[in-house]
Amino acid sequence: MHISVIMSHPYSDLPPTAFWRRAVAETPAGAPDAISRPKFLLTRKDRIATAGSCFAQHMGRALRAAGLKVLDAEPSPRGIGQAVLQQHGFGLYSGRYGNIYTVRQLIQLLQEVADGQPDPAQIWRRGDRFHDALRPGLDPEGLDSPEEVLAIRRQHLSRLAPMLAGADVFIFTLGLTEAWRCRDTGRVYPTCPGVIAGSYDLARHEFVNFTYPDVVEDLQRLRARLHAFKPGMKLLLTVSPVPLTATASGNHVLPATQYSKATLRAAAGDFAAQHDDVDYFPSYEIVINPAARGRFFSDGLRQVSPEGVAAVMQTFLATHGLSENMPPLSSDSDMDDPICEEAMLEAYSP
Amino acid sequence: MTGELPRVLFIGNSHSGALRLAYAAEADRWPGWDVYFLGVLSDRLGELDLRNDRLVPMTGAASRQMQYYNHVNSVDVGGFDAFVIVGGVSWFRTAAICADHRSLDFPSVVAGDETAQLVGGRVLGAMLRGRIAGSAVGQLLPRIERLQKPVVVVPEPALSEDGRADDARYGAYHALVQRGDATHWLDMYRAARMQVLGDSATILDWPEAALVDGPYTASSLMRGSRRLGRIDAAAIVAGTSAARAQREVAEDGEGPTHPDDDYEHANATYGAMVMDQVMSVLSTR
Repeated sequence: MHISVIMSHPYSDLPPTAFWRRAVAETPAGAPDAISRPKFLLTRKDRIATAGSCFAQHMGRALRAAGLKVLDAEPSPRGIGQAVLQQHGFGLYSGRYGNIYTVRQLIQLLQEVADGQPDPAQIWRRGDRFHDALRPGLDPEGLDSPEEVLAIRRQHLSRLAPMLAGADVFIFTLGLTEAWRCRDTGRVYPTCPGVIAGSYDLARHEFVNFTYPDVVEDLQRLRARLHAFKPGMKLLLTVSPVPLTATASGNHVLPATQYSKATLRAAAGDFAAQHDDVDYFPSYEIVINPAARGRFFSDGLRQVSPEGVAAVMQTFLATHGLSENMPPLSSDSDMDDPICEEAMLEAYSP
Repeated sequence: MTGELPRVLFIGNSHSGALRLAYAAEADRWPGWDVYFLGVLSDRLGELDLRNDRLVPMTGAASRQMQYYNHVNSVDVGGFDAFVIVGGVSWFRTAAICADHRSLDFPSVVAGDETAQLVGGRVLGAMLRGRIAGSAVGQLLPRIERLQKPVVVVPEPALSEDGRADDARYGAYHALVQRGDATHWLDMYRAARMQVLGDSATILDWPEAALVDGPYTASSLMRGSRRLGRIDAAAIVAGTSAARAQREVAEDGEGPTHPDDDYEHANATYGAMVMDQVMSVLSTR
């Protein structure tokens, strides 16, 4: 006599989302079901600050379109075309700080805001024009003098302080582990000196590729700094799916990208798991999902396609219960491309 | 139709009404050209396209205005020897751009005003260029330029000095003047205008004698302005000119006068001053 016994084990009662075939292979890539279980829900009352690598520009745009209160310490004049505004850093984030690719870069900015004083050494030159080395792409034509760079940066810092003190949630999109930094001060730059402005000097500049421990430690410092501005401020982390334009690590750019993204992804996830007021949203996973069969990347396989952006943002808003009254997110090809200094490295591609 | 004089077409928005009134009143004052007018309101100027030497409306609104104001659906402009674009970008509305954003060289900033958001001067220049390029004249001019004929661009009048009491509508402009920034901003505006339009046209400024207290227009040149009237643009096709324009205005009348609190449109006296400017430029061609 054969007796069949139904065995019980940890996989026997798991939901469909736990199984690759059901959750990924048989699920439309644009509508991943229950891919995120947020620790806290964004509401229309929350005052939200955003920063991060160029992919983060989509986040701020989508949140504004959904009617959320995205803070802006340095709003633009009205009646100016979007292209001009974006080229000059208006409306991209909650201040005109440009893209912030590494956690270290953000920590340094927050420290500078707290101090209220810009570093006069961080001015780059191009011809007879002067650029803020910590946001060199912000004024494409540069500024008239070092004094003007410092005056504008000083006011920039003063405007960020009250914005940060008023933020309930800070959404940060981690972009890179690779950066260039000043040997004397340890200050990291958003671009390599010499690419947009300034000049590269081996004696003054060095390459750094932040490791997992570096990023986790920086995230801890980031949380502490944000809480210094506003106790209890929540931190929502995402990782940009945009690959590196180029790597200075000496490795092939594909594994270099994977190292960078894996490090950021692991650090963000582990850090979020340790804190109730920190959450992680899987933008990266949604875009690189094999079920999309690559269509979430545009030609060039680097920028995220409008369809990919829409998938991320619709999932994000739905996850937070913000889909109602949400205008349709464009999946047309005329969606604005993000402003991305890192992409300028492509010009050096042989 | 003289058949001898060169022909110039004035294409304008409501601000072209002052010039048309002036011309209808004393066409003999400008004898060297056969003068024609084509009018549509506001930004519809930028919605006129050039297709096979015909100006055609690109939108329903522009089409309706072409018919209402000119009694035509499109106009053959291939036979004209010169063009004048009247209006299509407003100087005083640019005051809003620098209301809260200024560079270090603004007089108010030099004097210690710290209320504005500091930005680079070239950012502001880019904003001005963007505003002008996206304006009705910024859109229309490149199309007219394809005809390879002389083009003159006429600005909309500066705000009337009577408007200085109206802070609700013109507060940003008055503040610009009161801060002492108007001359500096006007220099930037002129530079931006030349960069965007200057290669394609002769850019006129306001008649110097029309200005008071800086960039305001004397009220005597603004009071009594009239709305854009209907033009029989069939006259353009038929080739009639001065006599026809005079008869149109006499028979149909130009539009009714603007309300007393219109501080943006000029009267025929101002229109005559601008006609003098335009004809002076054309006479050198």
